[in-house]
Amino acid sequence: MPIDRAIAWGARPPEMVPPSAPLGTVHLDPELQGTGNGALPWPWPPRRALLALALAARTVAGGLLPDQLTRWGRAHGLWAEDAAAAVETALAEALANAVVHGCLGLPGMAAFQPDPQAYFDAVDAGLADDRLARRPVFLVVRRCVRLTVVHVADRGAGFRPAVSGLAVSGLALTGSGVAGAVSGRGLALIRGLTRRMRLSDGGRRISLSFLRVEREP
Amino acid sequence: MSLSHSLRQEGGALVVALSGSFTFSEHNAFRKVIEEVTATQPKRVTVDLEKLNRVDSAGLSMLVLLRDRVGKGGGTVQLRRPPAQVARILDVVDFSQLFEILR
Repeated sequence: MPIDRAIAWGARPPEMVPPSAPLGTVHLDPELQGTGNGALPWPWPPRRALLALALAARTVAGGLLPDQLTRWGRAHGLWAEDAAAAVETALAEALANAVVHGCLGLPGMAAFQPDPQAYFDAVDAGLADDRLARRPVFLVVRRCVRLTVVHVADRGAGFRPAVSGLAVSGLALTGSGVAGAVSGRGLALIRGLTRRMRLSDGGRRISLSFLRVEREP
Repeated sequence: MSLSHSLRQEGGALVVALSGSFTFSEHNAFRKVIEEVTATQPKRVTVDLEKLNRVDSAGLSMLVLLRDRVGKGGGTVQLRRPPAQVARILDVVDFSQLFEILR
């Protein structure tokens, strides 16, 4: 179902996900309204979601979301206080991948060598292009036994397993040519900062698991 | 917090002290750092990370870029005093294979 036929639109609050936002919050970015931009990756709103966001790439690229999500999750005991830095970085990496590779369709910085500025310029140009910048990124948080699972999805081209195999499995990431490369560490970083990382839907969806805080009954 | 930096000479090394957040959105700030550093054609560069509170993969990429640019002029780059949360990131991506890291 196209996005703009599946949702009701609302004004964006000053903070998309303030710590006070209750479990079960669903937020839909007004930037997506009217785009008809790809099909939703789950039944919407997703069942049993603690949080569900559908956001335009441009909104995600604003960079505020990882910090907001981390503080929101801490407020609800979804991850421990001392894990906050790792959670924030892992979320930022997953969201950046969804925007840069999934929505803007760009390769990593290494492909732009020897001029890395060309990479950043290409990102900026993509975000200035409404057609690309209004492509959707979906984020859903769910509870799973002792874990909190954050799914980040886009509607881009995904990964080809032959290309992503090393990074996905985490095998020899630093000993197989990635070590000295300028870029290509995002997935390794996510894998190292999460309890579990899983790619699905042809690389369009990444699921990050974090240990939940066990609260007294 | 945005990225800021200062340069100073210390015992024959050019010390680049970074503070704040070294992430994707700071690429222009660090590009300026690379230009300032390479303009002096240093043989030894020490990047002091003590006041850095966050780094992501884009920040790591920029550090590798600095290493490559300084290396082209025959110089070396070492990293110094990463705080715990940054040290964890460096360990996850095994940056000790690329840089000498002084803790």
